Amino acid sequence: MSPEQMIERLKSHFPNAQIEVYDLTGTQNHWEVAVESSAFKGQSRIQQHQSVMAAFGPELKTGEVHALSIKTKVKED
Amino acid sequence: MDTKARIEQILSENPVVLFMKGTPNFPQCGFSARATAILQDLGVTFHSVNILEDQELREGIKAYGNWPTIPQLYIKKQLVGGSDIMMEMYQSGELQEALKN
Repeated sequence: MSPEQMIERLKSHFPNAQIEVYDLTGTQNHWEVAVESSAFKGQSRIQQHQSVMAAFGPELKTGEVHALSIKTKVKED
Repeated sequence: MDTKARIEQILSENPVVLFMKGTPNFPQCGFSARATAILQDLGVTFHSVNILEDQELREGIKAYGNWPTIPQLYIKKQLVGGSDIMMEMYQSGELQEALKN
């Protein structure tokens, strides 16, 4: 996936979130993503990470996204 | 024995279980290596499962805890998370706490 596609996908799952995407290896399949969203309010760390990974369900299954390092933060609005 | 039962048996027989790619001495992926290093640094005895040698468990564990990536750490049958969460907890001392009792 391209960085733009990654951001688009995260935007669709986390509207008005702050999103950063970083290609760890330049091969567009080892990603680090940082998502700051009010949607995380009240969620445990695991739930926050699970919801970010859920955004890439198909790609994680096929391996198109091989590695996904996640940083989440609750956005106070 | 179906996959779910196999997983539950592994989790009930071992308080700390790391599902990983490769083995602690020969991790086959950077994230699995990092997860192993954290546990080794804490001097924790843990049971590791090399999912590269067990396709059934590889898919089964992802569905079991609704966590689509490897490695995954379980403490007392509870999913702790992947190497990111392990690192965060390790740095904050939460992991040491969770492993204590």
